[in-house]
Amino acid sequence: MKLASIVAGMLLSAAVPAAAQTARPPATDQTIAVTKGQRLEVNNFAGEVMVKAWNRDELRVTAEHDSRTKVGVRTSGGEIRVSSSRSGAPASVDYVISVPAWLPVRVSGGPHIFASIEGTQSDVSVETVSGDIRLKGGAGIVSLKSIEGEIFVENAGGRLTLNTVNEGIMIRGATGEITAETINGDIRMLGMKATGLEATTVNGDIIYEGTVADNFYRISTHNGDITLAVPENVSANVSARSYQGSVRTSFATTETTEGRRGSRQRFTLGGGGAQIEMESFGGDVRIRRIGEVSLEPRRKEKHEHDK
Amino acid sequence: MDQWTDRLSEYLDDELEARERTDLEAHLASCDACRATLDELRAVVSRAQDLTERAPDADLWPAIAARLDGGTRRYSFSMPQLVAAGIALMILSGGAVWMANRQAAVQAPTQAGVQQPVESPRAVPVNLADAPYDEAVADLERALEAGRSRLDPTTVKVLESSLAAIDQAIEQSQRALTADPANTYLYSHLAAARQRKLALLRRASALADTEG
Repeated sequence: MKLASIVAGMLLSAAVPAAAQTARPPATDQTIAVTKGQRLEVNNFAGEVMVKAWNRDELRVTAEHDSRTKVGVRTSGGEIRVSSSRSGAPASVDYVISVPAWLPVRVSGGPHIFASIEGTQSDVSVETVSGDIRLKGGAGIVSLKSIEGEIFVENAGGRLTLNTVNEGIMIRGATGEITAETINGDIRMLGMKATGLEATTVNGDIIYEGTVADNFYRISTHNGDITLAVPENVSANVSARSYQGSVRTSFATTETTEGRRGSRQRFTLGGGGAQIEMESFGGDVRIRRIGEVSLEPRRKEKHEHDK
Repeated sequence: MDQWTDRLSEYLDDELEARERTDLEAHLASCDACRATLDELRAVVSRAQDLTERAPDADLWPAIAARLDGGTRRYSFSMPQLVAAGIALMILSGGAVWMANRQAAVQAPTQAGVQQPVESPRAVPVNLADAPYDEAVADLERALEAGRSRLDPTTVKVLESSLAAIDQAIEQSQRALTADPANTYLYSHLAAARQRKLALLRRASALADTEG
C-alpha cells in the first residue's frame, strides 16, 4: 500500500481542517540527552516515522502535525516515550527522530505507520498494519511486523524476525539468525550471511543468495519456486523436495538420493556443515552457484521497491 | 519440529542409509521431542499389528489434550502445543491407516500360507478430521467477525484473501494426502498450513480487538 493513499485516507477520516491539511510546518522540535540503558518508544497512529542514527548521545524529535496535535517527549525510568495527543480524531504525525546508534528503538501504536530506521546498531521493533517498514542497520533483536506493508532490510544483524501477510520481504546483506514469514508475497534474500534461517510463504517465491554457516536453514513455500544460490565451496547437507514440481542442482553432488515420495534430492556439498532443507508443494526447487543467474529483482520491481 | 521429524517413519521402516541412520540416532540421543514422537510411532506400529484393515478411531484428541493440559478449555493451549498435538494426531491417525495397510500387505498370506510380494501402500482415504482444530478456527473466525467493523475495509480484504490462500493450501495438501497417505512431507506441510491459519486468525482477531 502506498503512503499517498494512506495519508489521504487518514486526512479525510480525521476531518482535519483544510488549512491544516495543506500547511504542516515543523511543529515540534525537541532535543534531550540520553544515556546508555535507555530505550526509545515511539507511539504513532498514522504517518511516517523516520529514525536516523547520529553520533551524539542526544535524541532529537522533529515532527510535522496539525495545530490541534501535541507531541510529547517523556522519560520514565529507562524509557523515552514519544507520542501525540489530539482532541477528536487520532493524530497523523510525521516524525524525524535522530538517535545514538546504541539506542534500542520500538515503533508501534497505530495501523497506518510507515517506518524507516537507519543506522542504528541495537534492538529494533516495529509493528504496523498497512505501512511499509524499512530498516538499514540494526543489530541485536530485530522484530518487524506488518500486514499490508512490504518489509525491506539492509545490512542488519542479530536475530531478525520479519513478518508480513500480504506483501513481500526483501533482505540484503543481513547476518545472524533470520525468520521471515509472509502469506501472499515473495521473500528475497540477496548478499546474505545468515547464520540460520527459517523462511516461509504460502503464495510466493523464495530466493536465498549468500553464504551459509554450520546451522539449520529451512525454506518452504506452498505455491512458488525456491532458489538457493551458494558459493562454489559451500559445505552443506541439502534436502530439497517438491511435491508437484522438480528439483535441480547445478552442483556436482557427491551423492544423490531420489526419494520414494514426490521429487526429492538429498546430497552433500563439500564437507557438509550447514543443514539446508527446502520444500515446495507446487513449485520448483533450484540450487545454484552464486552469480550463475541474476537474482536481482526485475527493473520494474526494483523501481517499485525504491518508491 | 526439526529436520529429522519427518524421517522417523523411514527410520522405523529401516529405510535410511547407514550414515543417515547413525546421524539420526545421534540426534535422538539429544532430542526429547523426536524421541517422544518415535515412541508414539512405535506404539502405532505395535497397535497396527493387531488392527484389521479399517480406519483408525478418529477421536484421539482427548487423550492428547489431557496429556497436554489436563483437559482444560482449548484456548488454554499454546500454539506450539496445538501444532504438536495436531501433528501427533495426524501422524497417529494417518500413520495408523498407512501402517495398518502396510502390515496387512506384508502379512497377508495366501490360503496356502505363502507370503505375497510386499505391495506399495495403497491410496486409501485418510482420516484428517480434527474437531478441536476446527472448533478453534470457528471460535477465532467468530471473534474476527465480531470485530470486523472495527477494522479498515482494506485490511479486512487483505486478511480474507490471505486466509483464502491458506485454505487453498490446506485443501490441496488434504487432497494430495488422500491420494498419497504415506507421504510424511504432506502431513507436516498440512500441519504447517493449519498452524499458519490459526496464527493469522489469532493475529487478526487480536488486531480487531486492539482497534476497538
